[in-house]
Amino acid sequence: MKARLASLAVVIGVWWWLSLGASSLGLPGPVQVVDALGRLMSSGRLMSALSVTLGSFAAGGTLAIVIGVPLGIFMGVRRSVGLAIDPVLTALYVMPFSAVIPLFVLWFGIDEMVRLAFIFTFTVPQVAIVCYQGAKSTPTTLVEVAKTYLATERQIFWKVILPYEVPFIFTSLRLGVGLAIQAMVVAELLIQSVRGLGFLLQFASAAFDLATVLGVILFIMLLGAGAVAVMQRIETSVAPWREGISADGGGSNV
Amino acid sequence: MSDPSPKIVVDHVTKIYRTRKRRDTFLGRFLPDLRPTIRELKAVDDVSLEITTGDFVAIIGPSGCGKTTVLRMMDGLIFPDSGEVRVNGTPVLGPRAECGFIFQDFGLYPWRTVIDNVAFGPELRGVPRNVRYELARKHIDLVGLKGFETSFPHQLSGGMQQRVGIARMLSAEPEIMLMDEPFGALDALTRRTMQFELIRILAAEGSATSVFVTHDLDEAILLADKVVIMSARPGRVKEIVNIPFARSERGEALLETSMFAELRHHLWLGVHAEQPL
Ligand SMILES: Nc1ncnc2c1ncn2[C@@H]1O[C@H](COP(=O)(O)OP(=O)(O)OP(=O)(O)O)[C@@H](O)[C@H]1O
Ligand SMILES: [Mg+2]
Repeated sequence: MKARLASLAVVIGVWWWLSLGASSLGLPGPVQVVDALGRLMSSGRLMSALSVTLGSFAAGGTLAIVIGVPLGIFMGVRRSVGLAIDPVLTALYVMPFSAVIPLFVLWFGIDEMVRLAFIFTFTVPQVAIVCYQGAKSTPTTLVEVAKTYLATERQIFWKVILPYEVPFIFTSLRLGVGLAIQAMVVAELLIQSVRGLGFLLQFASAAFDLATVLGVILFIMLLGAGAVAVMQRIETSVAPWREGISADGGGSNV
Repeated sequence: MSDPSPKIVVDHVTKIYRTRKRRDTFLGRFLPDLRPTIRELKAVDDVSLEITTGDFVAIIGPSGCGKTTVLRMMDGLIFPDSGEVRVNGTPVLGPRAECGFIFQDFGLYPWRTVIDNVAFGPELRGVPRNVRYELARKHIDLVGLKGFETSFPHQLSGGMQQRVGIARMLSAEPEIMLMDEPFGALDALTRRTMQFELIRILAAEGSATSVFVTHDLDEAILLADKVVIMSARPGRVKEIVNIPFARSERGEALLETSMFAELRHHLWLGVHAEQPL
């Protein structure tokens, strides 16, 4: 916790120092940005933009999880399915975000549907790949132990593969939130049919109001960090055995 | 020893592992493998063994000679290419309730507490929680882990983890205990402690039939009634050595006797002659 506060303080300090020297370049300092953010909030524009944005974000993200997690697990359990779908997911994963927007507009129009589809398409590969890796890497000994105790296929799935998968699911959710936020902002920047956070960004930068631009970006970052922190809390309570095991550093949090 | 029906019969068993070299390329995932390369490895060659009820048998032999393979065929985790393994007179077609298995790397479920690991077998059989917990507690006490019921495996030392493994096996109440280098992952000191602990635990449990694989000659003599020496790959039974000590004699003092030293030397020669340089 101390280390985190310290690094945060350093970042803010450097930002402030840069903004002093580089005011001619147009880098607003922390105070101006927070001030702009405060004005956005009190005018109610931030909240109304947020409510617009969160709608498609939540729908697209949830859909990506509801489909991506089971898909990944299924791929891991049925190896041939995994081998067949894995390259498709990888291809989707490396597809350039913004370049395919016109296609999406063509297919899904410019309403709610296109944002939902966009967020879904860019989040689902990552979520599924991580869950696939997890299910695939279930140690054979753990499965064999269950077989020794005469576990049925069902019991092996529910009592071995799925519990082993839990940390991978949480990792996939963490990565998924990040991707969904990026996809959401890109979609709103490029398809300006609604007045969401992306619209606020676009509007402010058109007016060269950099303090507001940075304020909105800061707000989005805080939102994402908050979501990830909440998920880590849930993970530690759902998967307490992970504490102390930090294969990917996931154990030592909060 | 005139038991008409031995507990485990390994009847002219041969096991060949076939590894198929898959083309793990991007396109290889979509295309059928037209010329798959199959590598064959004869791990075990015409092995026959009879294990009588109540026997405690150790299998020793050079690394890679097929000890694990034999043990896994007894448990029905893998199957022979020719020959047959019979337990209680019927062929082994898969894991069965009579057999318990101890894994070298413990095989504990990291997401389960000690008690839930130990109660795993009964849980799968649908035994109600309070009944299976009572059973589990009994065995947790027996292996000396009282007070650690709610710990997770990663909070325990290696020796303690294998105690959990033993308790888990005992809670399934097997007639036959199969152990693959049960203490192989432990340091020498802990291993010695666990050997005496196993003697104590099995004495308390009554005489089940046990087969274990080991690299530790002292362990083999200390625990077993019979030691099976296997030859280098492809594994065959080279010699079966009877260990004449009574259960009550098996303790620290035994290690110092000349009889023990003689047996150890005998086993050492048997295995050493096989060990590839
Ligand atoms: N699943 C497998 N696929 C292919 N080959 C295997 C497999 N398992 C074992 N082998 C091979 O079969 C031979 C016997 O293996 P096994 O594990 O039974 O030996 P072991 O006597 O238990 O050796 P160690 O003392 O090192 O544990 C080895 O050469 C090994 O490489
Ligand atoms: Mg082995």
